Amino acid sequence: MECPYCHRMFKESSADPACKGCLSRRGCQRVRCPDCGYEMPREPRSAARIRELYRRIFHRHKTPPLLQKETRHD
Amino acid sequence: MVSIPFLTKLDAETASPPADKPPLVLLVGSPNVGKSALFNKLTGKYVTVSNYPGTTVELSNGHCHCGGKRLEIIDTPGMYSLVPITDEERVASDILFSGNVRAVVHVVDAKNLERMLGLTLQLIETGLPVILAVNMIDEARNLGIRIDTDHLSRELGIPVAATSSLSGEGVPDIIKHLATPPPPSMNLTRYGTIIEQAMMDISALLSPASPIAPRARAGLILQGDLREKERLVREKNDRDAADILNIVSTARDRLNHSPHYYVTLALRSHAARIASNCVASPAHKPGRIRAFLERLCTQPATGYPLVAVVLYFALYKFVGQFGAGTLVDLLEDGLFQGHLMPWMEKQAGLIPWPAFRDLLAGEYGIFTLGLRYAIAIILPIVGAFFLIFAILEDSGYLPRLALLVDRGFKRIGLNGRAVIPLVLGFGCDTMATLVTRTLETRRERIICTLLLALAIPCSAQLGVILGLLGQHPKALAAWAVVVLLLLLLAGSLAARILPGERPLFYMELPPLRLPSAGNVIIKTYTRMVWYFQEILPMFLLASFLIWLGNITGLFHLLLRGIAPVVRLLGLPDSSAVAFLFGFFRRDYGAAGLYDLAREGALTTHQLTVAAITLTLFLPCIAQFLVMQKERGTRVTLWISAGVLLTAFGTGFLSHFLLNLLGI
Repeated sequence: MECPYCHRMFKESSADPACKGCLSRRGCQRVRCPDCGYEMPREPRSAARIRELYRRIFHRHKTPPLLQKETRHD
Repeated sequence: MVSIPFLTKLDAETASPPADKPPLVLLVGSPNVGKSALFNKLTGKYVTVSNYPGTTVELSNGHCHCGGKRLEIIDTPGMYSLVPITDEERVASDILFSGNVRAVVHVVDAKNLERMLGLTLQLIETGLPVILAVNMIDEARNLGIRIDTDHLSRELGIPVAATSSLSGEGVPDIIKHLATPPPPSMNLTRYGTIIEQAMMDISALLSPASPIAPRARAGLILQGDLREKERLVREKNDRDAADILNIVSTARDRLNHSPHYYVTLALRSHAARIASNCVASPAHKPGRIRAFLERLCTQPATGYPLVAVVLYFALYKFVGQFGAGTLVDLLEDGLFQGHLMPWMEKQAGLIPWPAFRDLLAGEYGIFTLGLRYAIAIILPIVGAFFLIFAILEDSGYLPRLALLVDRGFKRIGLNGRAVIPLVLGFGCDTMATLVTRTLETRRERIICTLLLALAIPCSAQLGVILGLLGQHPKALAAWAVVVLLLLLLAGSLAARILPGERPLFYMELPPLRLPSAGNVIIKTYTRMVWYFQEILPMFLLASFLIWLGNITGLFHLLLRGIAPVVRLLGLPDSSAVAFLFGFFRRDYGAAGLYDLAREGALTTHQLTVAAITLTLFLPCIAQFLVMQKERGTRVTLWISAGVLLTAFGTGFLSHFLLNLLGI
């Protein structure tokens, strides 16, 4: 996913170390960018449907950067 | 994978580990560069994971055979620099300086090579054998980035391997280099006369038997690395340690900024020079319009007026007037009051038990209060805010705002980095308080926590206030001036009272871009879902607790306790409800204020005083708990007491002054 603040791409799983010791770690619905520390809500599963709908209507041939599926390394 | 505490015997401070221990190979690098995947390629299946002694930081270790030798490979936690800030970086630096290190493999992201070479240069300076793994090379190629690894190797004076930890490309090259570790590189970064002289003087006093080169240690001491200072005091006698600290102090006095600043600049400039010779990226020259916009956002003469324009159109016009006005009217008057509420009251009338009837549709019922507040009043406001916020985020404006306010923030003990928690505070102060932990010093964290608790309203509170006071420009101006003045006053007072250094701020700016509609939709949608999942249940819980307090009499007891205080502010007793709601949740209090204003219970004067006092009022329960967790009980109690006194003191003064001014 892309950090909305610094626009760097990162994988959701790599954001976990920054959250260690957090009060609301269990069931937390937020993700923290490992680079700048910016926090954002975790993308819900239903966002995939919105993404697909958007792609069908506006971008038949290409997918915007944020909407691409993650293919990053661990 | 098995999980056993393998590292309990590794004393990070010991320079000479047991002779039978296999030599260490450390994988180091920033988070998210593919270190762990490369580690798995090098070590195979049998990996041990355990916590580093005395910390919660996890480490993985495994073994690999190289040239007939068994090597222990450690996947260190992510680090950006040798001067550590986080626990992960401290652990990584401890392991790096532990001795018995055969080689350090610095794993970098080929797509962001330039920004990562700074750490490579620092590692080279340690005198340890360094191998550079330019990882994710396949992804870089797909983006059209070409890296001349042979040239890079000559420039740095160390072996370089282009790797892909997914496909395994380049991994045999790493193993080959590990078999015969390279000699230390002589390509050192130069930091300018004053720092170079100080490093030379300090190096002369340091023990040459240290696991890392004295020059690197001198650099860390000069940059204020506390761990290195501790090591220094432990290993040297008092006189030598005092001499070294004296050299540091003299160098600092001779420089305009801290040595850390100059070292970072020199490393960045060296890295940029090397990258420009070895990396060919697809041309991304900023156009003239983009360059103009860049200057417009970051130059104080144009940047601050632009902030005012953004605040006016984005917050006042869109969130305040459209969100809190038009949309709330549609939902509250049109849908809820016009259709849903009468229907619900009719349905609830069928319930024979009055207490349960009240729970659903009474004065403080789940439907009449909780659901109505959450959906008809707060949702349109935060929805409008989320949309505007997503546009600002996606355009890349926020980091430029951080750069712009950096100088001003230094006067209140913060720097541009504090824009992240403060901006997030407009979304939710509780979440933003958690984010203050990303600030560099404890002093900054306390000041930022204080400002969040005192003067940063959440989006719902802000929207309601803008919507209610928007029809009275003088009242709105009075509210804005008072809150802004208090923010500056509290910040500058805290900066004077709390001792500590002022850390520097530098960040890489992402390119400015036209916000993509797709990104904005997904970000807004994600936040709306978050609102429904996390905030809506809290509203329902709050209305349940209020109903419980109502039937037990506790609620009215609390209201009676607050009533004399609100009377002092010139407010009617009924406004005590908004303050009590505000302590449950800030946005709940804002919705309470909205209800009072709509019922005509407040004059413009009273509305202004209530808005000022509620904005500055105590943080909600959730924020209070997070503050206690993050800053400790003592600091939290001090902040809360200060905030409570300031809120009511300012409310009282505002009541008095606004009367005098005839507002």
